[in-house]
Amino acid sequence: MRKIKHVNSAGLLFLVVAFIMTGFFLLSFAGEKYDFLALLFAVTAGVLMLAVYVILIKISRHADRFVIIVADLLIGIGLLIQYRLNTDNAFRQLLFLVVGIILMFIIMALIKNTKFFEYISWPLMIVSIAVLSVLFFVGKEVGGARNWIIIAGIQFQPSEFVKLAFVVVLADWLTDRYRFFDLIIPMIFVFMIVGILMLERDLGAAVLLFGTSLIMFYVATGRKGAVLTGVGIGAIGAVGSYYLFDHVKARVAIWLNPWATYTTNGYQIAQGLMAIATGGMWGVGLGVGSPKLIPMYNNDYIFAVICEEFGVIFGILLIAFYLVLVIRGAIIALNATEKFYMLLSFGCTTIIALQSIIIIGGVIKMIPLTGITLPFVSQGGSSMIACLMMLGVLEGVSARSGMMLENRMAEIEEEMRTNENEA
Amino acid sequence: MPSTAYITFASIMRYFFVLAMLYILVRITVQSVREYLSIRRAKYWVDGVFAATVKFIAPEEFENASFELAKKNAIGSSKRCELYIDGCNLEKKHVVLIQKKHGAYLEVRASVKINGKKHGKGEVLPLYDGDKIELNSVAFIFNTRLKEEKNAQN
Repeated sequence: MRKIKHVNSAGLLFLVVAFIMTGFFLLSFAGEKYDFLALLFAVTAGVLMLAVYVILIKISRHADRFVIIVADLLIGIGLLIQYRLNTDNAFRQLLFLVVGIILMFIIMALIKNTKFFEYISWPLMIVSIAVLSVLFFVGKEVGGARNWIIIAGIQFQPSEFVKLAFVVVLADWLTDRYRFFDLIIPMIFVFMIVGILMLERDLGAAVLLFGTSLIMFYVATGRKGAVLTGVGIGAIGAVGSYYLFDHVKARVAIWLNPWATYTTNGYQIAQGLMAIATGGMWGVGLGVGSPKLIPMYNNDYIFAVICEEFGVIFGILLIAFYLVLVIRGAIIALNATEKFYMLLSFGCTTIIALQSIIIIGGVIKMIPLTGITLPFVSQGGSSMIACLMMLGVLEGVSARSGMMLENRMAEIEEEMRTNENEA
Repeated sequence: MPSTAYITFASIMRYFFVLAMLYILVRITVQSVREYLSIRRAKYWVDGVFAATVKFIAPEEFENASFELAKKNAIGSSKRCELYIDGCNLEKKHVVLIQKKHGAYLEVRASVKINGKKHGKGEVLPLYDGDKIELNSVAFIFNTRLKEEKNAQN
């Protein structure tokens, strides 16, 4: 039977695991005493990555191997840096990684075998709006944004999970609707979500979801006019929020000249830039830098920490890996056989791409800084779990497309055999 | 504060980390492109693109033998040809059968007959599903799943 030939990438995975373990081996000598726990952590993470790969290929040989390998590399670098910064946080991150992996496989199985996601858009819409609205009353403010909830002692960010729900809802509505009047409800949904996030001062998530919705609208409908109108509305909203909200004004002022308020508001950006400059092209060395001088060094400013210790070249290579991830995500979307899954995988890829651009752009002062995490790398359980769930979507769509393509190949072969016998 | 020995070791290792990342990136890119091409080949095959075959009807020893064609197929008595046929009085490179995305063509290097009509050296002719090609004592049927309008050529 004719089959799709997939490139063997097990060697590449071993390379990635070896790379991560080398980092932990180096880190084990960083303290006053030799740190065996670092090696144990590395072995655990390495075994976990290998196990995930094997299980993924067993579930479906059509799952995209390169997406999971790139994600493993980013997660590995994140764990390495987290361990270097704070051992307890690293272990907590490993735990969230395990939870995220389980959810990833569940989502992958749901997409590969059922049309489950096509039928839950209304409940997801209502739950997303409700969850974000509840934050007004019970949400905890962190870094100026009221976007955290504490349930049973565990702190998590609902907006991270709303991202996936947002993409599912939009993908469902945009699958077979093209007329303006048919799209009023998803437009209202987008404006409500973005509005609530703006009011909660979660500017990063607001910009991210608005940008994602514009891109998804364009991909689904091809309507340049509607999308340009959306960009215009977004621009008016941005200018309006600059004049209406003091925190937006402050963010823009800090971005334009952090050195003017170096000891107060501009301290974080200035310290981040100085850290990157201190690292130079090759970095100061793992464990040698001074990351704790940067506020929020383990989540928002993790990229600056990486550049300080590993260098700017390493930082550029990290961005290149995000680009590979985004390109693979786009290929998965293009190979999808049904429009819903094409939009779903494209939406998830767009979120990963935009999130990376927004946070890295903010750290290097290309755009005003917003408080969102670097996917797979930053410390944060909600972020890690949400990113892995999106990875599950991509793997599920890849598996489904591959399976359908191979079934079609088998049908054609059978037809050819029948025609030959008849002849 | 890390020790001097560690700082020295870490300073050396930083070059390793950057070069290792670069190597992994290059390898992932190369393998990723190969994977993309492999899936594209499968999709092309499903659509019938580059998926034509030839089925021999003469001489007797080749009867009913079927071959999957590559993008470019030289047919002749030279061992360098993709379809090498000896002892049938063929030129070294008698014809070249080329597959494109939208169809297939036959480059005539020596005299051939297509569906009974004679064609001479230098001609380039489109091929359609079911065409019978005769090269002296060798004859085969060209099969493709690509749907083509025979009249379009005329």
